[in-house]
Amino acid sequence: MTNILLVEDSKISRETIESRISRSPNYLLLASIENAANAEIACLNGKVDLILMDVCTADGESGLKAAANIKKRDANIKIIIMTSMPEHSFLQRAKDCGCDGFWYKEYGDEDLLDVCARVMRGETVWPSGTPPISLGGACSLDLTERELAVLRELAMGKKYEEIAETLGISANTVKYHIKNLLQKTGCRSTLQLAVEVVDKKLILPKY
Amino acid sequence: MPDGRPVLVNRQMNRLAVQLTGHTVLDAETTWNELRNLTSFNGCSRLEKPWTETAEEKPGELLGFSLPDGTMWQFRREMLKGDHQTYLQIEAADVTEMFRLSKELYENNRRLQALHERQKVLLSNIAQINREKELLSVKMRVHDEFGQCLLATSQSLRGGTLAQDDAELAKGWADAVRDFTNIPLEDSADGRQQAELEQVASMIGCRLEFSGALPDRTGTRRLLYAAVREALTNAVRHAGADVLSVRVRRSAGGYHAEISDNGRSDVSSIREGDGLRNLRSRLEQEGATLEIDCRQGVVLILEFPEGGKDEGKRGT
Repeated sequence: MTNILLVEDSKISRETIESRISRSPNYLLLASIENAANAEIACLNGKVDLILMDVCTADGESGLKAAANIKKRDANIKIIIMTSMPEHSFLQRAKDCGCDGFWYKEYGDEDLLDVCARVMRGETVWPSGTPPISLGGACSLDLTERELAVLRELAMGKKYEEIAETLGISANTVKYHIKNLLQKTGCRSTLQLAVEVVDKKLILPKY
Repeated sequence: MPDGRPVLVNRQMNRLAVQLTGHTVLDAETTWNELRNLTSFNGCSRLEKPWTETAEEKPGELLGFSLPDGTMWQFRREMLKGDHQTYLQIEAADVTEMFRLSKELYENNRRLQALHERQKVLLSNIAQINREKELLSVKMRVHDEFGQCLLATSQSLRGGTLAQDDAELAKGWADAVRDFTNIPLEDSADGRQQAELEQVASMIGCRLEFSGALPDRTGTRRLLYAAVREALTNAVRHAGADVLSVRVRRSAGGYHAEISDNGRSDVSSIREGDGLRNLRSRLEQEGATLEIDCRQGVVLILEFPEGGKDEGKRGT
């Protein structure tokens, strides 16, 4: 029997997942909570085997940050990150912090309980990539890693000079990337571009 | 000359000197001192910064004046070294256009800065704004559903067709009521957060006791909960506590909170690990403070400013 901790702040998703877990004889739902930071506490009781962790949780707490802390304290707890957000960095960050699987709630056709079963057998389960998002006239997959990095800083409201400093490049290079981004997407201003990427949830700087 | 007599004064400088001081340049040093002390005279007035930022690149003391004809003049006092002696040079330049452009640039920069601040706020709140927009559209839809049900029912009653329509009406009402009950109650979110903290505390064998009025502002309550989480983790892991007390009261500057536990702890000081360090920096970013009192167990003492750090920026 696998003890599951579910971290999910959307009522509809939570109820759906709870119902799936309750119907399976292999899993026991230890607790169902909305705030990822509380998951770190719940794990201290030593009974959690698997966490199904949403990324954007109640009170703006990040499931990825909580997952990293939990893994640091107890690498034996399996963690599957779940999200409906196409945010391009989530997948890599989940891998970087030692999570065991990743499940897109609204993309792909993987079944969550199959992902759970594979992870509990010791596999790591990753989707092939981030879902494509249309961004003005461009597709998110057409953007380079560097352009995405510049976009992330831009979406945090940073100025060109600050972006240059953070990324260790010159302000002119930042301008060059932004000019290309505006050309690719057809956005008229950097504000429109920043709102577009945050609105489409390609970049969520808070998490 | 060393006695102050001017070697050379052109007509323009004399004209300006008459306008600004009431007489021609008789002694360069005296004229400069008069200019330096002048705030307004004969319709002329001293210019305050910012006036010509680029002028700072050249050496020498600078003064600026506006004249009654609307022109702006910049005076520079500089020492020139000759072969055998040093000369004092005062030069005046018409900076009317530069002043206008500089002022325009300054105003534009200020506007840009304000826009930038607004953009930051907008971007950081966009997820919340979207959620509220979605919630509002759900509420409007449910409102319309109820309206349609009422209309259909009253038509059936008036037309005497209630018996035939009852199945359809009942389904409409049932759908409307179901949708209504599914609207998330955003107001209860904070209540749930406290209940959830109590739930996870009980999972690790600890009881949370809250006393006093919790802060009104959601952001402040979130900070308080973050502190409770940190205290709870440490109290259970390091001191084996099974009760954590959170006492909150209003203070002159906002809210004062103390978090203590019943664990075994007789340390005189504690080493701040990642958790406490992160908490402290999160609190300080919001204008709150954290003190750790180890005299009787470990007590976290928190001060939250009234309204939070960004209260004054709202509506800008």
